[in-house]
Amino acid sequence: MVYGLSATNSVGDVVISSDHKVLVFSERGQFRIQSRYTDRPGYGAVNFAMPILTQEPPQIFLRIITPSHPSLSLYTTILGVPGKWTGFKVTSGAMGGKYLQNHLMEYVSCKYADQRSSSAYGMEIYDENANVDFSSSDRVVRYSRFTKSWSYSQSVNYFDSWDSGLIMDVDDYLSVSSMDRGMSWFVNHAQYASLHMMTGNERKVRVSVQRSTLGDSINIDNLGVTYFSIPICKFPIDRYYN
Amino acid sequence: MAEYGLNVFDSHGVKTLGMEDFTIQRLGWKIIPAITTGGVGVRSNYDIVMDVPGYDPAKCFVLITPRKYAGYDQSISDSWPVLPTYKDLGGTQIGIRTWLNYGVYDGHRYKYYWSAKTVECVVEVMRVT
Repeated sequence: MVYGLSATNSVGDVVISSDHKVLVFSERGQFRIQSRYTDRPGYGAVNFAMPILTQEPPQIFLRIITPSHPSLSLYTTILGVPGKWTGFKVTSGAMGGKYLQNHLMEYVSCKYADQRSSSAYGMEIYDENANVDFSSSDRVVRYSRFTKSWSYSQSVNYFDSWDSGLIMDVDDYLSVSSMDRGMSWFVNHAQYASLHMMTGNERKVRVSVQRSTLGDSINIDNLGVTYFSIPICKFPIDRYYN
Repeated sequence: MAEYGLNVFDSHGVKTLGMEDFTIQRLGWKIIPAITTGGVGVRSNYDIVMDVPGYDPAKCFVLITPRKYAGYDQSISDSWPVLPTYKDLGGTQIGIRTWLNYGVYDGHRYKYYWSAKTVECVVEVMRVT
């Protein structure tokens, strides 16, 4: 960089700079994922108090506060359009059994800094195009973990699974913004695909699909499982409050 | 609290940024249009290769997020497209992969095909510190 601001920590990592946008907190709240029938999906939806005005979709992080079942898998629709994201909806997999779904969830929406400071004091950092990179009204998201490599398995003929190898803590939040229909690992070979936040009371991060065209091999020579990154972060309330 | 560098506090006195924070910065981004195609045989080349200065596989991750969501429930006959995935290609290069190789067993042997069907999405290269 030849201008601007760069803050580097004691091990040489740039914490913030005018070169790059940084992920920041937008808002948080609670909602429920509920089903009306035991053999049908559950639904939960949130309208943001503050629409997000970025071109790229926000990162929506979810945490299970109180699960109604030992497992939860879901996929996401982010509501709105590029430039004005207004909320999100999640659809959970049918559970069967005797009880309706009624998971108590917490969400945190995050975005790239896009607005000037809401205060008359503090600091604003701009990029070379005069867009806001960071303001002191922003609360930066602290990195915890990302998924990257996945392990493929086929437990039974109808179901395939991709396991991230990561197990979340109770206070971890998983971004669900990328999970609508899933990934290119199973193009044209899945009927249903979902991101698992919990399996058998364990907060394992994995993706499963119900397969179509069952006889096809979709992981030829074990080369089919490419990388896919999903962030996992923590949002303690004393720092990330509305 | 770090006794050097930059610390930011909000109006409630809560520190919102410090030198000990592990932030998530975006090194680069690109919108990838929807791609639907396919063919015979096993494919190995990448649809898009991004060269992102500063990319380090040990410190960077690639987020891929739809720009369009189906907005309706999944179903057995659902044909809404999926998201690309990626590979580290060495150095600062990242390969974006939209396709799947698959084998169809004809009773005697597998015949191989490839198929791509991805939704318009944004690829963001993130560096974590």
